[in-house]
Amino acid sequence: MASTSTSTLSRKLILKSSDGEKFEVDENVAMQSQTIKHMIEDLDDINSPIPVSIVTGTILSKVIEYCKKHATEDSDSDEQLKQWDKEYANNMDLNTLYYLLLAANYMEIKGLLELITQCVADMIKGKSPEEIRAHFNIKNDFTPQEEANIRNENPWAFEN
Amino acid sequence: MHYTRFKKRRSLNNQADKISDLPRDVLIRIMECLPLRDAARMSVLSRMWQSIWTSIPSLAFDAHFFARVLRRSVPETHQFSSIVSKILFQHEGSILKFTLWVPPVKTCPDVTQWISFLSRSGLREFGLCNMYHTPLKLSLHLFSCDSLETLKLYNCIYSPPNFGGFPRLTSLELCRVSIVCRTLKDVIGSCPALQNLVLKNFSGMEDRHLIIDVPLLRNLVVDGAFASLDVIVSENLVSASFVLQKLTKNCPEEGNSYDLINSLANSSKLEWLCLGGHFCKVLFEKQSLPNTSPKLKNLELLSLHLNDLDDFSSAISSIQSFPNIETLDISVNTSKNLDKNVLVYDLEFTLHHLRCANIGIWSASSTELKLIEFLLACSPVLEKLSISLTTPLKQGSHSKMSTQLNRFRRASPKVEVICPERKVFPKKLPHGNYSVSFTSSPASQHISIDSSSSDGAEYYSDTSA
Repeated sequence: MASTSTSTLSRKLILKSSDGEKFEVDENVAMQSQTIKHMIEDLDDINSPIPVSIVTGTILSKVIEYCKKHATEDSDSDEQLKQWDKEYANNMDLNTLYYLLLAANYMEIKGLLELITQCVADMIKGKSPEEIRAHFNIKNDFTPQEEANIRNENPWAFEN
Repeated sequence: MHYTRFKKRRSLNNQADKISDLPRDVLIRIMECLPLRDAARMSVLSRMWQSIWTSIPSLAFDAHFFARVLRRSVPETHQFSSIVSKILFQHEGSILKFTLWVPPVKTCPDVTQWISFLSRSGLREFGLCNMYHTPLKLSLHLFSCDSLETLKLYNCIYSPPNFGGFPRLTSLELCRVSIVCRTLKDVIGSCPALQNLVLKNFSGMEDRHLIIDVPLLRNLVVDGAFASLDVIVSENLVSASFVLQKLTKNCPEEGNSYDLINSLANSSKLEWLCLGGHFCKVLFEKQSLPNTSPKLKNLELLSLHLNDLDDFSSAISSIQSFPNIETLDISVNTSKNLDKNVLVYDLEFTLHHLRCANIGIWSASSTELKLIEFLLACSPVLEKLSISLTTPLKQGSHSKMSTQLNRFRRASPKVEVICPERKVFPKKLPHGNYSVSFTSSPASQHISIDSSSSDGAEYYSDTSA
């Protein structure tokens, strides 16, 4: 399956997800991930699959979709790329966003991590604490008294 | 590890709080993407989120934030101060990035204790933009902040002690800052990593000789009042801007300006150069053309004064010093009508590569028009010359300008000259293009008049006849 081409440009790598799914990708696509970049440097045989141990196949395929788009810089203008990023993030449900955050953080893909954190932040922006708790299922572990004390510390934050 | 915990929870309860299970540094990143008020509201969600809030490493108090929480055009100083103080003193751990916009409060706020607090917290980026009417005093502790990488100040008093400089600083921007130093060396001290230096509208250096010697500098802006300037041009310099706002009595010695032009000419990476205010005059007053720089591609002449013959010839000399420029931007600040016969330029000179020129004119004076004439005559590949107005013109001057523009000889057969629109048209013009004949123009030339305003009229000469 692995290509043994000598040209660095067309070198292929195989990434293996936590559930055993294999993906063949161009080296420059995989190198968007700092973690993989460092792994390759230590690797003697680049033909053996590189384990991406905490990322499932479903998520890894989405990560690769992002990396492919961002590996070929010259094809799109910055504006087009931004638009693509926006649509990419908007198409994900909350569950996928969490796993993508974990994957981008683990794989050290700066652009993807920034994109998804901004996307989650945009969901929080403008919401009241009650709305945020409901949206993300965050459990309030303060007693009513404790919560009132915190609100009193920075009252300006909670006025409408 | 996080992942497995994450998964287990999920199988037990579909409504699990997944976001709180993300790694702490990811949660911090999410909070850093939020405006400060939204971030502060997160503190009440749960204990975990409260601890993220009190350890967030970047705090940005911006104009939008204070507009929302203070809700007055002239807020009480103590209200403003107590909000900032509370957040700062609740904070645990390091603050790497801190920016503060000081609203136009009633009395002068004291920011020194905040700075001294921040200087002990590993600060890397510090920005202070002061909207109170008088400049703010800074704490001396700022200058002992060795970890600083970026420093940006607006409307402050910059008075460093006898200090060694910031060892890690890469960017220093001082705008409308009152500088209390004997030499520029005292201002920046030793900053071996500095790449970006912006000194704009500063005061306190009117009678000082500025020496800028920063080895790694990539971007330099010096825009203010100073007696003279000496720059040891770094080989990394990519863009440079020199604007002299006031002409002082102690003119620089000839040697200095010659050296500056000389070293700029030899700078291999310089892509963009801006000369402005009275600086062209200072550079070229005593020698006509000291050296030419064949490498520079983009030149800007900013806030030019075209009030006498010296002004005019120094502007021409500035352009002639960079014969291979591709773009040229000029904006005129003041100008006077001078006798056309004294305004002369070298007819043999050619700008072989100039493709695009923008000129912001002030009064359509003979001096300004002569400058345009010069550009049209010496630029054989010019594609576009845009003229804009910094102040509205009288109707008479406008039509006179249009007539004259039309008469100028054009070295480039394909040049498009874009004129500013008159503020009020004498008659309502019909929509769409309409022809105006320009007798002197070659076939492919046309003059269009900027149609950005509402009446949508456009002059367009289609001289195919």
